[in-house]
Amino acid sequence: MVNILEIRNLGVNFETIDGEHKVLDDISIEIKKEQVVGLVGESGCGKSVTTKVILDALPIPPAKITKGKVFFCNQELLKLSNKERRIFLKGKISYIPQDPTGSLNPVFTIGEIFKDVIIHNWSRKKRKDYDIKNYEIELLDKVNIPDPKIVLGSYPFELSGGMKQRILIAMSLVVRPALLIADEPTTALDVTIQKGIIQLFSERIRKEKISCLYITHNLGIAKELCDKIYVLYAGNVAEYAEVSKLFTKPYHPYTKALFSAIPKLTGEKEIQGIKGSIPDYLDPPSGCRFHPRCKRKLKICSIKKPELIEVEDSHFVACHLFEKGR
Amino acid sequence: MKQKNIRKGSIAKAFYRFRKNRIALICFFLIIFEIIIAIFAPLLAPYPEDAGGKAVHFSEQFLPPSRDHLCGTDEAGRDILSRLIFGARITFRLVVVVLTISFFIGVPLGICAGYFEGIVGQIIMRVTDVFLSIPALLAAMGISAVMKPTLENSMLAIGFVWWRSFCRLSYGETLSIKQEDFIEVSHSLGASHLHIMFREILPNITSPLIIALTLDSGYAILLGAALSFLGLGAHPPTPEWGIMVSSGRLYLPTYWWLSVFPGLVIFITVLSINLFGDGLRDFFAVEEE
Amino acid sequence: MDEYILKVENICKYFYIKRQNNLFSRTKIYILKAVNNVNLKMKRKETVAIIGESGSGKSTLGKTIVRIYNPTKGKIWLNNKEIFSLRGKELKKIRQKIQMIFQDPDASLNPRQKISDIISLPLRIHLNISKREIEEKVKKLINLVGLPEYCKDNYPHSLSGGQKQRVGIARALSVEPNILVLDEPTSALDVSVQANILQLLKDIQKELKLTYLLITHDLGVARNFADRVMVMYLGEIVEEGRFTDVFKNPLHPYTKALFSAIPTINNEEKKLFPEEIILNGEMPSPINMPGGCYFLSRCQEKKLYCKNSKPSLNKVKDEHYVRCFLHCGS
Repeated sequence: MVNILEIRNLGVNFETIDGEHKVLDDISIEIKKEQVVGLVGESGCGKSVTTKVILDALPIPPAKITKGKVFFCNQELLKLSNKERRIFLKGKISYIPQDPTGSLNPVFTIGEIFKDVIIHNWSRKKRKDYDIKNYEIELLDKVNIPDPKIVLGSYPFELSGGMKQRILIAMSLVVRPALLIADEPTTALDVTIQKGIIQLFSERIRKEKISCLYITHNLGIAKELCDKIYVLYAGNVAEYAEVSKLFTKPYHPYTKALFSAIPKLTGEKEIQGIKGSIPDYLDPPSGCRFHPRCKRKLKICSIKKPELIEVEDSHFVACHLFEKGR
Repeated sequence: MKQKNIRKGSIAKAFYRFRKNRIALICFFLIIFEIIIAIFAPLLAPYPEDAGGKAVHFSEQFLPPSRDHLCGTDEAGRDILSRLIFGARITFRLVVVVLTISFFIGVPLGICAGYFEGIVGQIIMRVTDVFLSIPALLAAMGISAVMKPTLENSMLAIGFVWWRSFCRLSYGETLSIKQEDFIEVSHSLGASHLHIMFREILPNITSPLIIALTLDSGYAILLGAALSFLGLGAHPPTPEWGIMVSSGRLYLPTYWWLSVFPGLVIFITVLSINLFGDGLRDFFAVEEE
Repeated sequence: MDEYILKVENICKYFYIKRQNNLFSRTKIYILKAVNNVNLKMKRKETVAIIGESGSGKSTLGKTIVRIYNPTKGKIWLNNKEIFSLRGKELKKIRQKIQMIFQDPDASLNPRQKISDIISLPLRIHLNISKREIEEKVKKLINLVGLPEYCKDNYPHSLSGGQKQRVGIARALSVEPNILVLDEPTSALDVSVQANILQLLKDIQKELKLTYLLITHDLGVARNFADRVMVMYLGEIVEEGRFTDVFKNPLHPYTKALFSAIPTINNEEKKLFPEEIILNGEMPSPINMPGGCYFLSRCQEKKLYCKNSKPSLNKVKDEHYVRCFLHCGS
């Protein structure tokens, strides 16, 4: 299968007055066609920086890409000039942001916002052939919005969070993107609404056969939506595997600690937090960045950074505990 | 457990950001320079006795700018440069008096209005509106005319008129800070109103207040000069910049240096203050980010 | 009876909203019933969880109990003393006994105050003790919540989210309250930090013999902690009971939908609430509610008679109450 997105050994630093924040150390991610890949990690792990790199939204000073390559649809992105990159990415990536309220311009009606998106993305010929109004109603129907005509005439502040998020999903489907990036789209929503949105989202991307990068800190949601999950910690990939494999047997001490920290609905009520906090990117720990907080650290962990090793079929872990011979 | 002290102190950070805005930095040093001149006026002025007004050298009147008198002499033969230097003292004294009065009237009123809202807030803000509807110059003229037209009184007049903008500013800022959670917390803990207003809200609104203070000082100087120009403030022979411009009018354009140099000094001072204030605004904006 | 440390009877909190439809119409005043006739009883050292989504009124309920809002109607008894009608100095004394921990650790700390000042604020307000004594107490509190000592001279921006929340806890504990209202104490924190804070709260509860009112939307957090649970919808309690009872056997249609909507991480959890219930529409706004059951517009099990009148909270089993016509045999 063709890789839609391939990030190889990406490193990103941020320059500030205090020095260089080595935010992304070494990130490698692969998304195949029609695959839904989850990016799981806590705040500060580098998920949003990674996303920004893909979307070409990283503010280049103060950010600096220190190493790595990003291939999108077989085109190496970082080699292109800014203008070339923008032209290349147009129409190929869609983005659903975390906060629906901030992403819709409050002085325009939904219909006007939609029209903007369509006009920006369709060729003139297509615009002439299609009836835009009907298309908009069709799209809103697809995301289960009742009374689409009324919604098209409303302003964003008149709609609830759940509705706005559905609208954003509909907008992301205007083009048939090669890759859809969803950045924690249900964090701001209630649980009962969230359930509906997730079902809808899952239906849509399966039907339209879109590859998706889904960012979340909620493992439960990741399990429901994703085929493959990457667990990020402090700018590195700690572990990645197919969903079922990851949940049946997590290997990395961080992943395991994450699982034990989630309040459970069955079994043991005891939950274990992780001591310490995410490292200071100005002076990150040597070797494995998780070692100061790891319960099972070895001597080598503070000296050498672990590489990603295949511990099972398509299950990779970056941890010295699982190197050959242990 | 040691605390990592990698991060530079906030003052160092401040200068780093400020450095990036060179104009503001230049203006900052210009203002400091003027203040130093004002403080050390007797030592720096080449002819300090000329500023007092007792000395009169009619034989040396209307001398053009030369090496002896860098800005020339005026109609009484007094060295204009020395008078400008002493004039700086008067100007800065004016700024301090005006801003102190207006700050200590306007800010507490504004915070009270924003905090209590309701009837109290309405009364305070409507009174402020009345004051705001009168142009500063006219109001100051009015007050000066009622009192004896001296320099001191003109300063008081401006101060009484100036508090309105601080009041409005504090009012707006208080309204937005009031919504924050930590204010609710203080309420729930039973903190007194006074405590919340001045120990919780006030420290959080200092940035816009400082900017306002800076920018307003420029206008205050202009206002003082205008009042003196109109004869309602300082009187000759006080070396105040405004009256120097005013009395020099009669001799334009032949003896241009009598008005032009004081005018230039006013211009440069106010411009520097404004550009510095702008830079300060950018500086605080970044800090909040 | 001495049994209950806190008793809340028919508490209501209404907000009056002025709305003007257009420039020329009159301003109408709408009543927003954020909290509507809630009854609550808490025993010492108990943890009661209030579960609901945004708009359910749970935060308003918490804030009303702590007197950030003044209740519109109803009575509150603390240690058998009626406190609703108190004002001024008397009210101030009571405030010591019930404290609140807020959801957003960033917003609940004054960014321009040092940590030691933040923590000592309640002490300075309520107690007349010397500076040195205050310093001593602050030191003890900082240790109690697991913060390093050098923190006390720092400002909030140099602390992490978890540390800021610990400061909030230290502040609340400074005046030795009996009851803590925890308003979503860990929603704004990462999972790993959340576990540490919850553990801290549990330890403190044991050590200081506190009673907790835990407001949350996270069922897992509630399960970890709570003895009893109350489910809120549109300002009313729709189901309440011992946690284990309600959890094993949710009866109200809303409770069932809420529980089934929670993303699960393994098959065991999935089996708990196998029925997939997706509710229609959204939570309506609690302004001018129509007659009949409040949940009518979204209920999957509604019957014809549900729109005629509102059900009241009925006892189904020992300590398990439900507000639904389906479970009261009428």
